[in-house]
Amino acid sequence: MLLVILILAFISIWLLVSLKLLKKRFDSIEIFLLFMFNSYNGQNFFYLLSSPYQHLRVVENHLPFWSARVHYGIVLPVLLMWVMYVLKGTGKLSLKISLCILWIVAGVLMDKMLLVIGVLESKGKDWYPSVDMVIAMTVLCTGIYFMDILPSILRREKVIKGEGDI
Amino acid sequence: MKEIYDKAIQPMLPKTFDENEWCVIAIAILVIICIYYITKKRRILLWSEIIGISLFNLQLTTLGDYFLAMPPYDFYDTVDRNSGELMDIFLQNIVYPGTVLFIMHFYKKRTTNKVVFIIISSLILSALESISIYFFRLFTFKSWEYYYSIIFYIFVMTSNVVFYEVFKSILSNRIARNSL
Repeated sequence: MLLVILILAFISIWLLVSLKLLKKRFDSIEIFLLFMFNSYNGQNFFYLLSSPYQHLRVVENHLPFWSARVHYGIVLPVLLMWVMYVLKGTGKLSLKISLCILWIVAGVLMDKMLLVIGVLESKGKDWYPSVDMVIAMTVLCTGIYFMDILPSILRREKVIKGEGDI
Repeated sequence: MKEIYDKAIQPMLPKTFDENEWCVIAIAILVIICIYYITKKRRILLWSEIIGISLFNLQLTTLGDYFLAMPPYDFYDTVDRNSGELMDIFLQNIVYPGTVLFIMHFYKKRTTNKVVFIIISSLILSALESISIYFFRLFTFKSWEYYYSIIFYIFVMTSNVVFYEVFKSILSNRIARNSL
């Protein structure tokens, strides 16, 4: 389990550093606020909505607890930031939709992986990936909505310049 | 239909709908009114600052509450259950961050001494918590002690003041630069 948290910590540091590359399409304030939103949103949905149910829970131990925190609080939100980066670009719509689906599927697969390695546990009869997919879709949709409204608020208060200046 | 209720809805509902649930609803409504007042009627903070402070506190709440109230640490329980429930959604998303946002409104409005502000605001938050505990049983302490809450609120308000000052100076520099 120590190895798991070390790997997750390494991946999360690497992903956090990669946020710098998003500056091509986002302002640094936007990156900060979007990350805070995605991180809060992801943790809130996955924890609050999964803790009362038996289907998928975090193992009640120190290392699984912190591994899950790093996963839902840093890894998944930063990956979502990269999806947003592509969504903000001028790429094909099919690519954008595929990437959104990929993020949702990757999230479910990572849940399965965490279940196998003992970070998560399932006390119920079955593990329902559909529940996780609905939660991931909600996090994705609210994240995209926030990404959409944030620049106009920041621009109105002159915190960021016009889109072309970023 | 009954299966959906038993499996999906029932685990999120309070065990008994009594004074602590009414307390959460009443506080949530009061906090919404306060947020309405400081954002629509007497707004002093920039919308960017409001978003920043809110997200900072939502993050702090998510981190703090799960760390303190969930196993393996599990220092206390909120409302009826030892897991997330409907009332926790109101507490974590409206009550905690909304109250701090309301307090930070007054920080920008008339604070001259940061230390005095941190002490007074921490005492106000501690007093509000004691009311919710002793009159409405909103929290059930396990290994948590009341004085830990006072220390915790001092930490929360200090980090809020530091966050706000840093965030404000970044925003001010940008606004000045972009206004030229």
